[in-house]
Amino acid sequence: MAGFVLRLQGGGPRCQIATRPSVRTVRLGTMTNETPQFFSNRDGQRLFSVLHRVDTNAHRAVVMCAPLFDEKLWSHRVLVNFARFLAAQGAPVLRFDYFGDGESEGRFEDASVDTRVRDIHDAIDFCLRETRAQRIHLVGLGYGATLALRATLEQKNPAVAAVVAWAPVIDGERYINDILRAHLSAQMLVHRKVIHDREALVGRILAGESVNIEGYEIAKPLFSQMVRSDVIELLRHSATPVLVQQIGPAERVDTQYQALSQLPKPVEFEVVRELKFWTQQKKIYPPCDDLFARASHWLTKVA
Amino acid sequence: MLYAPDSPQPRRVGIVISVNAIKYRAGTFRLHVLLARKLCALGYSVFTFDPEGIGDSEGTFDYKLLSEHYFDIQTGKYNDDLADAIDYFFDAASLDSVLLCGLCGGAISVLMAGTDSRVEGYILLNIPVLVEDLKRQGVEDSAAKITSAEYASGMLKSKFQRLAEPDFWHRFLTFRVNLREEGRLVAKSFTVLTGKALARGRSLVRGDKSLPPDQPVSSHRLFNTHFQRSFKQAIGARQRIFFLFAELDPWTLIFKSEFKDLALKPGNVYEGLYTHEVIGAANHIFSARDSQQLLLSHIVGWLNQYFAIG
Repeated sequence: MAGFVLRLQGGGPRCQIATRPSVRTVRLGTMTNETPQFFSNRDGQRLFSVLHRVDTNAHRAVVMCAPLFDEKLWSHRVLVNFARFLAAQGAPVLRFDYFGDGESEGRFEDASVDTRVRDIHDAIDFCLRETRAQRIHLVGLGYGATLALRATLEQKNPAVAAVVAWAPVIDGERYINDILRAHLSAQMLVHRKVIHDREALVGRILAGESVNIEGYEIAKPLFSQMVRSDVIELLRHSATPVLVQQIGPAERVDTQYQALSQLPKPVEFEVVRELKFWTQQKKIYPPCDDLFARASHWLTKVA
Repeated sequence: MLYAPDSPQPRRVGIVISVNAIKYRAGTFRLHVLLARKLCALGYSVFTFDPEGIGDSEGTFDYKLLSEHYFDIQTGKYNDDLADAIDYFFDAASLDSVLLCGLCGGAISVLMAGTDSRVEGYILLNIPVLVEDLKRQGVEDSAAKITSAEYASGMLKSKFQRLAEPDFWHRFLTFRVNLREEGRLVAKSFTVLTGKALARGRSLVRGDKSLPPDQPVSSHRLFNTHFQRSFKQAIGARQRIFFLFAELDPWTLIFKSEFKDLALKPGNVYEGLYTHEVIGAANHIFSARDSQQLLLSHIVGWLNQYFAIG
C-alpha cells in the first residue's frame, strides 16, 4: 500500500490519517487497497471510515455496520479480516464509525439508534459515490446487525439488495438490561453494595440523566429507541433477502431466534458454530473461516 | 491517526498513545480518542496507531490464549512497532520532543520501547509489574495479585463478611463454591500479611535508599524483570516518568508492594525524575466521567510542569 498523509480540514483539532510502508518486513498479503478517510453525514458531522477498494468495477459493494459498546473493540479485527476477505473476492467494502463512536466526531451520549440508522444511510450514499456500485449489501454484527435491519426494513433504502445479520439483537430491552447490569457490578466494586438498582438507573435515564456503563454514557434517546424495536415484525414483512446467522458454540437454535428461524424466504437463518468473538474470550482472534465462507457464498448467491 | 493542533506551538511536543494490550488504537470506550482530542486542543500533537496484526494494520495475530498475548506484550512484543511509530511521528509532526503514554499493557509496552534518545518522558497509567502466569492456561490467578498488606487484609475481610451472607451458604451447599481457589486466596492473604510484617522490620534496619543494581527488587515469582530494566534505563537516560494509578485497580497496590516500597524509597537519587500519583475512586480503565476529568487534569499538570509548550 502506497504511503500517504491525508490532511482533513474542519473545526477543532485536525486529524491526519497516516499510513506508510513499514521500515521492517511484515507479513503482507492480507491487506487490500484501503483508504482511511472522513466523510460528512447529513448533519455535517465527520465520520471516520475505511474503504477497501478493488481493482475492477464492482456492481455491488458492502457496507459494514459495527456493533456497539465493547463489542466493537473485541470484534474490530474480525470485521477488518472479513472486509479484506470480501475485497479479495472483488467486492469493495466500507467500514465506518457511527457519530459519537470510534474515531468519528461527537460524544457517545449524543448518539441514538436513529442517528446511527441515519449514519448507515449516509455511509451507503458515500459508498455508492466512491465505488460507483449500483447495489449495497449490508453486513452487521450484534446491535450493528439490528441497525442494518432497521435501516433496510424501516426506511426501505432501494440501494440495499441484501443484509447479512450476524447475531442480531432481537430483544432490545433485554440487551440494554444486560448492559445496565454491568453498572451494578461496578457499584459493588466501588461501594461494596448496590446503591442504584436497575429500576433506579432506568429512572435516571428516563429523567434525562446519562448513566455511565464501563465508560459509555447511556442517555434517554439511545435507551428508549433500543427498547421499543421489534425486529421479528420487521423481518416478517421483509422483501429484501436477509441471512441471519446465529454465531456461538451451540448447535441448537437459541431461544431468542426460535421465531425468526421459522420465517419464510427471503429471510434465511442458519447456525454457525464459532466463538462469540465480539465478547471477551479466553482465546483471540478466531479465523472464522466457516463464517466468512458461508456469508460470502450467500452474498454471491443473492447478487 | 495523527492529531495536529490548529496553531503552531513554540515548542512542539508530541505524545504517542500506545494501544492497550490487544485493543485497537481507539482504546477502551475510545479513551485514547478522548485523551488525544483534549491534549491536541491544548497544543500537543498526538499519535495513535495499531501495531502489526491489531486493528487496521497489516499482519496477523495468532489465534491463542489472551493470557499468552498479554505475556508477549508484557515482554516487548510491540517494541519494534513503537520504535517505527516514534520515528514516523517525529518527522511527520516536526517535533522537538516526544513522550510516550499507555494504559496497562500499553504502559509497559512504551516503557520498554523508549530507548530512542528523542523520547523525553512517559505517562504510565496503571502499569503492571507482574507478567501473566502461562502455567495457568488463561485462568486468572487472583492469588498472585495479593501482594500487599492492604489488599490481603481487604481480601480476608471480604471473605469473612461472605460467611455471614445466606447466598454464600446457598452456593456452598449447592457445590458452587470453588473451595480450592478460595483456600488459595485466604492462604495467600495470610502469607502476605505475615511476610510484609517481617519485611517492614528488615527494611527499617537496612534503610536502603538507592535503586538496586541488576537483580530483581521483588521476589514475586511473576515479577517482570523487563519492567525494572526499562525503568533503570529510562532513569539513566534522564527521561521523566509519570506513574499514574487508579485507586480501585489491583495494579496500584501491586506496584507499591513489588516496586515502589522496595526500590523507590524516599531520598533515593532518582527521586526528581519520576512522579507517582493515585487517582481516588477510579477503576482500571478510568471509566467514570469524574475519573476521566481527574486523569486529564493530572496529565496536564505534569505536562505543564515538565513539558510546557508555551
